[in-house]
Amino acid sequence: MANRAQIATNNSALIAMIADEDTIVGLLMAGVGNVDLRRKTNYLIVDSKTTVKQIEDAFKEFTTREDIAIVLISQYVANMIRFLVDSYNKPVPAILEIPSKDHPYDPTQDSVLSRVKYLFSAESVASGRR
Amino acid sequence: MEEQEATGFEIEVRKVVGDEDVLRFMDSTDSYLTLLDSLSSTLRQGWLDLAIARQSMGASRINGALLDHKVHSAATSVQVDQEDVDSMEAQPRFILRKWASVADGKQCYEEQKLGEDKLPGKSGSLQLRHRGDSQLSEEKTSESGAQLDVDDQVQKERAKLLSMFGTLISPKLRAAQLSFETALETLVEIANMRSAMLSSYDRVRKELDHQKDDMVSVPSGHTPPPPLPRVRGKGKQSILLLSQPLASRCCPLLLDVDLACREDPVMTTKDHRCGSFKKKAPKRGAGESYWSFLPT
Repeated sequence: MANRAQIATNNSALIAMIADEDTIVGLLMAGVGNVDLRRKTNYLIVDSKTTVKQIEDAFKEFTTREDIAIVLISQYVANMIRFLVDSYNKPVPAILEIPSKDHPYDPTQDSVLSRVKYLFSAESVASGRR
Repeated sequence: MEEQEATGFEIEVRKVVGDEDVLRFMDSTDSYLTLLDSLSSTLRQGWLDLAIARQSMGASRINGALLDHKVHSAATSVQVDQEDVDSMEAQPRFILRKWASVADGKQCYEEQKLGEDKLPGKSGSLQLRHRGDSQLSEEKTSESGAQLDVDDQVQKERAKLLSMFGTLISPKLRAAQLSFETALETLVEIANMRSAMLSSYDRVRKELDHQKDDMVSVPSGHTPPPPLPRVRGKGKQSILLLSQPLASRCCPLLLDVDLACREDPVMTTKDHRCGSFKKKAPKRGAGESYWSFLPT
């Protein structure tokens, strides 16, 4: 505790979500739902009618808002905007890819794991460590 | 004489990558995957409970259209701390603050422990009864009373959130709520693991890049590498590469240099390691030459 310097806000930050309806409803029951004065929510329910543009906009909005610390995104939704998710590399807000009801979690598609895959490659480790 | 000089030539390998960084990285990656696995099963349970509740209450009573769109703040949020690790890069740390609206001043009711969990039937007093120590239980009475108050408030908060689905709700909906709360705790742990993994990864990566730049450096007290080309005759010379104490498990490498190729000596090793040995232009002042060992 002593060597920990608090840089970020002491205030609570939100958890944003881009996921299917059931996941959003469940997490809202856990109390993460927030509606601000401009009637902006911290979640986006993705269904068959949701366009990729809407998902992109929501992702950009959630990753730029200062009051959001974690963005949860269903992995199948993240696959729709993979280029955006992979190019995001800030520590806060943290992007977490979560499983959804119809699409189980696949570690090979996770943006964080594919970023650190470099160290699992035998050649890179061998040339680096010897 | 020069041959002898060259024979006893010692090169110090700059072994920069700390094993602990690599271990930390592997540990956090392992935890990340394990936590995601447990998240999957928790969420699956939540979806199942939600589906059962929907089945018994009717699809029109549980859906996204009923969500509260009035202005309200989140009852559960996260607090972000930035941790300085070796002052190299910042590593954010996330702390879950459950039912923040319950927390007023001293009743800072939060933290992940609480969710493990406090099912409606379990209360602090029940746990105390099993302890059997009367003195202890007396001391704890006031504490447990406060705890019960907080539990009551949490129950109210939970009920308030479920009230959007009506007053008479399926018990499975409450079970689903608990599952999603647990999932939320796991998610915050995953976020912490993610930041630990990325920060250790950055550190290892940085050091590996640095290591590639000057893999082998020559200590100033020793004869610099030029003797190598000056050695007369053909044959093999041995060069001992010594590792820094950081790499405790890295044994010294005994390398044989084929002196026939003086301009661009090629190393063959006695163990499984091999690579070429290339001279680099002096960087750090006159009298010191640098050689880089390029493993193949």
